[in-house]
Parts: sequence; C-alpha cells; structure tokens
Amino acid sequence: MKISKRPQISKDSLKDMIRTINQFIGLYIREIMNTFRSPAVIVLSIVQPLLWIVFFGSSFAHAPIVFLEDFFQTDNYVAFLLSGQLATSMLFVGMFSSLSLIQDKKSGYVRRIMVTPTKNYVIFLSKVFGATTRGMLQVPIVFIGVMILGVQIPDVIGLVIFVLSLVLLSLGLSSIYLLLTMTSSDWQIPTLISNFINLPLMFASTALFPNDNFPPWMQIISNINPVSFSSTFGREIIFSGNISEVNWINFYYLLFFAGIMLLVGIVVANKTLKID
Amino acid sequence: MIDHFLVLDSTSISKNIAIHCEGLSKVYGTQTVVDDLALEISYGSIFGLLGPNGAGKTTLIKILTGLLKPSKGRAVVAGFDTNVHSIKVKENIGWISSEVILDESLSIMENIHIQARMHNIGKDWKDRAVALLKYFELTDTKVKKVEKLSTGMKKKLEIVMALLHKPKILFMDEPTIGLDANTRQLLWSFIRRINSMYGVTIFLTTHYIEEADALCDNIAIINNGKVIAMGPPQLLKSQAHGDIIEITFFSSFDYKNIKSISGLIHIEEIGSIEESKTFENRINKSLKLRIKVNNAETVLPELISKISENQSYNIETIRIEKPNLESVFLELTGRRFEDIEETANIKR
Repeated sequence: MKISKRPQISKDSLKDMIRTINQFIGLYIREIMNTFRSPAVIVLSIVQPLLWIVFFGSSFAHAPIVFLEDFFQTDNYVAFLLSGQLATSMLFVGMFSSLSLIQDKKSGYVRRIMVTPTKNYVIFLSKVFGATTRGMLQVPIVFIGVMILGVQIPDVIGLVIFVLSLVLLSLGLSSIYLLLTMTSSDWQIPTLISNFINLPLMFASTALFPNDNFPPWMQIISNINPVSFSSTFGREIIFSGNISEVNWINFYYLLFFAGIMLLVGIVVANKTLKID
Repeated sequence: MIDHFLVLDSTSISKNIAIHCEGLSKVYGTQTVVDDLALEISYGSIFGLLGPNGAGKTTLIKILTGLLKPSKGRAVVAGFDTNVHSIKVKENIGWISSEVILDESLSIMENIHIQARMHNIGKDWKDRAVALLKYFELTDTKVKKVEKLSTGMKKKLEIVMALLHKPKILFMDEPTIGLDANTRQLLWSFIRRINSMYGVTIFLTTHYIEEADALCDNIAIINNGKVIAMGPPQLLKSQAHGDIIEITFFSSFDYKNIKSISGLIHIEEIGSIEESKTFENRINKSLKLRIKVNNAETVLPELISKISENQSYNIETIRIEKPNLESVFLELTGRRFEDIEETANIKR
C-alpha cells in the first residue's frame, strides 16, 4: 500500500524564509523611517495631490450641471477627478521609488546591503512597498479635502477596496520604474522616464476625462492603461458609495498588473541589480 | 548546521584556511583587472593586500565578498565557494568600506537594527550592540541622526555593525583612506583589537605602505592584477637587498673613486641641481646620489673618507634608508609606488 507523505518544508528553507522576511521588514522599516524623517517629503506628497484637486477640480466649478452630468456622469467634477487624481499620483510615487534606489546606489548603501546575505529581490520589494506606503499617506488627507468640496465618502468596505486598488496600481507602477532604473546610477534617468511615461499615461487615461472623445489610437492606450482601470474602478465606488455596482474586471486587471510587474521585477532584480 | 567543508570539491583545503584563491582572474573587455591570482590566508591573521590605486584590490575584494563573479578560477571564503554559495560566504563575513556608508538620517541604534535584520540576528541583537558599542567607546547613542557624528565615530559604528553577526572574516577595503593621522592611529588600534579580542581574520586592502607594515602578519603586493610578492613584512623587507645611503652634495662631484668601496651594490645618480652660490657669485651644480649598500652602518665611514679624499666639506646631507615595503615594490616593478599612483590619477 502506498502511503502518501505530506510535503514538508525543510528546516533550511524555513530558516531561509524567516531570514528573507526579516530582511524585508528591516529594509521596509528603513524606507518608512526615511519618509517620516523628511518633513519636506511628507508635506509635498500631501500638498501636491490636494493642490491638484483644488485647482484642477475647480476648473469645471461653473460648468452647467447638464453638461457635467452628461459628460462626467456627476454634477461634481471633483468627485470624478478624485480617483483619477489619486491614480495619477501613483505615477509620481513610482518615480520617487526609483530615485530612492539610485540614491542608495550612489551612496554605497546598496553595496552595504549586498555584502549581507540579502537577496537582491528583497531590496527591490522593500523599495516597491516603501513607495506604495508613501503613496497611501496622501489618501486620508485627500479624502478630507474632497469632503470639504462636497464629495460623498463611500462606506468602510468601499473605502478599503478603493485603497486596495490604489495599492495594486502603485505596486505595479513602482515596479516598472525600478525595473527601468535598476541598472542605472544616474539620477536624471527617472526624470527622463517620467517625461516619457508619466504624462502620456496620465493624459491617455480616464484619470482626468472620460475617453469617449479620444482619438482611436489614444483610446487603445487608455483601454490598456492601468491608470484608467484604477480611475474607473475607484470612480464607481465614489459614485455609488459602496462596492455594489463596481465592475470587478477593473480590479482583477490591477491585481494581474501588480502581480506580473512584481514578478518581473523580482527576476530582473536578481539578475541585474549590481553595484557600481 | 551544514558542514561547510562538504560543499568543496575533492581538492581539499585545510580547515585552517580562511581564504583560498586559485587561478583567479577578472577580465573587463580587453582589460585584465585580476590576473591568475593565487592566495591562501589562515584563520586568525591580519592579511594586507598592498598595491597602488588601480592595481585590482577592490575588484578582488568584490570577488571575495561574493559581489562579483570571477572570469576564471575560484575563491573559497570561510569554506564556501564564492561563485556557488555566495549567501553562505556573506553569512560569515563582515565588510567595512573606504568611505563611510551609513544611513545618515537614522540614529546609531536604528542603523544597527537594520544591520541585525539583514543578518537575521534574533532578539539579542540589542545586547550584542550595546556590548560592542561600549567596547569601541561609542556610548553616546542618544544622537538622533548619524550625520551629527564625527568621521571617527562613524567608523566606529561601521565596525560595530560589521561585527554584530560575529563574522569569521572581516574585509576592510582601504579602511583609513581620507582619515586624519589621529583617526587613522585609532582605527589601527581597533583593527588590532578586533583581531586579538574577537579572533576575527582580517583582510584589508591598502595603498599606504606604512599601514600594511604596521598592521599585517602577511602581505601580498599586487600590481596590474598580479601578486608580485607575498609573505610577512619582515621577510619581504629582508628580500629587498641592502640599505640606501642618499647623499646630496653642494656641488658636482666625481664619484668614480667611491665605486671601489666594499659592500657597494649600486650607485644611482638622481640628478644635478642648478644652484646659485650667491656668496661667490657663481653658478654651480649640486648632485644627489643614491648608493645601495649591503649595510649602511658598515659602509658609511669608508664612504665618507673616500668622498673627503676628493673634496672635503662638499657633503650637504646624508640620509640612510633601511629596506621597507616601498623598496620591495621598487625592486620588483622598477617603479615607485607614488609614480604608479600619479599615473593612475592622471588616467582617471
């Protein structure tokens, strides 16, 4: 008689797993501490999205309600803009994550980590999750801001799912940025990439306007752009006030996007992350 | 714990050997940075890799710390092949760089905490840290940001961080570069204490001859990626034949008659210097000779007497140079250490 054995995790691989988690926590804590030690970073990451909401959101303040309801499916453009603006912010969060890696490479800190038994992908993951956490800091502030501007805040579950979708978007975008800058030590690279990626991704999406009137080529970009999926998904929650009417395909797309990008990032980090 | 000697192939390496390299080469394009290098370093020793800038020291340290794969050959550190088991190598080593590399916005304990996490040290990391901080006299741990510390204090902190996980081997890449004389002396005393108190094998690279001479039990002199001499400093110095007597003359001097003195190895004319003798209102040429002899003390009386036969009171200065690592380098390469450094700096 065949006796089936339950697969067992060897002692060494368990030890290895615990060590990896420990290393990740250490580097993640460092990312967070660095954020809180830099008041300028906190103020800017909070003020910037709030300024966007106030200034850009006010651009349709005196538009006829019929036009707003017809074009934006709401009488308050700020409500339309909210999720799009937060999704757009995640692009800049991604840029910041790559700048932080370049800074660590230039200062030699990456080498300090790499002479310890830390795998390269742990460095990558700590940067991605650190950037995402930094990105999430602005969410409560922006929500308080838009409440003052008359936007209805969704229920708790809606709010949690909304934030989760932003987390997924941020994980994916930060991974892309880190992928592109992993082999570089030039601080100008993220800024250059930002000009090439951020603006097209922001405008070729449903973050600021619906894409119905886009030219066909821009609609193609918008329809695969993760910023659009996040904006649309979040907007559905804001408009309905809960998750009852949301299209989960948008969420799954973001889940897939984040998963793939993290996976590619892990593989690339192990192969290409090198010291100068 | 895995018996780390099992991971080696049949070519046995003694258990006393901390670092073993054979046929190690690193090639970048057409440039060979490390060239067929062989080394063997025992546990418990202080080993110095001495060479001018650009000799291949940092590349070798990168290979030995598992950061870089060699193009050819292999290195075994703490019983593990750096190419195959780089994580195991990293578990057993500590590293201190030439520059201070710390997270300057964090406190002393925060920096140590992150290092402890990297090495998966359990809850007792704090006790270990406190003991090490006390030992290295870094007790002012209340400083909020490391950036407020002096360079010497930062170096101490780096030592504490490097020793936290009780490494078997400590790699120090040009540890005293850019430090003032006092801090350098302080660091030297720490290096000796780490070796004697904690029994840690130390592998240090340096381009300061006096540093290698003062600290190391064994030295390898590296030039153009090749080890050109290896052994204890005293042995290397004894291989550099003879002392140097350097004499500067007030005016040009015919030194033919001193060629016959016993114990003379070689005379080198360093150059003649145009000099204005305002007292007599005429131009004269002074001369500097480097005379290599078996033993300066024995030869000197005869040498001075021979010079005096020709022209008395012509000697301006006499300097005796005992063999040092600089003369070993000069003898082996035909070039002075600083000349190579200057060339390397110009290339840069």
